[in-house]
Amino acid sequence: MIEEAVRSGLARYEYRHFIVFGAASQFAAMATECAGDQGAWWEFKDAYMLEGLARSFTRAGALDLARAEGLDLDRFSQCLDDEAHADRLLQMRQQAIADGVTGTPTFRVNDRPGARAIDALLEQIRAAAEAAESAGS
Amino acid sequence: MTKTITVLVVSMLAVALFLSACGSDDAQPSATSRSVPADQSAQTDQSDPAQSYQAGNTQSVEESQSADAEQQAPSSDQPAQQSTTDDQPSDADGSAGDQPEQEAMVGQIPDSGPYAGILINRHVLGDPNAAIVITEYSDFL
Repeated sequence: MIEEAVRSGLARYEYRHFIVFGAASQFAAMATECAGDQGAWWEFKDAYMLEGLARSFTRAGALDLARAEGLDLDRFSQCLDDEAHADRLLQMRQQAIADGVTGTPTFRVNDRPGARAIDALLEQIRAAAEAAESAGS
Repeated sequence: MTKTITVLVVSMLAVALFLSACGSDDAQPSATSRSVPADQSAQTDQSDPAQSYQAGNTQSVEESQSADAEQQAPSSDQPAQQSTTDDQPSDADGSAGDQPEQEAMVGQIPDSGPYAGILINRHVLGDPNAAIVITEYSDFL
């Protein structure tokens, strides 16, 4: 349903890092941001989210993924070495805390707290969609 | 005889005085004249190059300043790159809606893959002007 809402132009989906599982998670987030510098943010995000248990959250694993995505490995490695997006990750975390996020995953719909249960969340999105459509008509 | 001796002595004294006068004229003035020009040349050598060096520095500073200005001017003409950096303060601002809109402005729409036909950018999927914003805070582990 979320995909449908996004594809229809009714909704926009945003992902925010909220790192709670330590160094490996921080590294994966950093690798994703470094991949984003080369236009492959979603490829990395999906790989870590969908294949995370199978893929090592290590530098070697990230480089393998970067190689598979055809990224500039020198640039990618330099980004990792420099921790170039550390500030971005920190700011995301601070913003999440300011938004009242305490754990993952947490959803918000139109900047309001989202339901934890998926069915309730979908209902919340459906209600927001109906409200938006009625407001637009 | 006495007159002759006196004349000789006087002549010798005159010669000696002349020679001593010539010697002192050669030594002291020349030394002074050498030191002064040497000092002057040293001052000139120090001052002129220094001035020219400072001038060179000034020029180089001006050139670098103008170069910086030239560099700054084009950089202000790069909204796409700035939007990438500007999105960080927007995070700090707490306006979750501002960042995606800026990011989405430089996004892309893939022709294939799971997001084919959807405007994507770093962290963001979909229309930047969509009525509903679904935000997920998550961790990869």
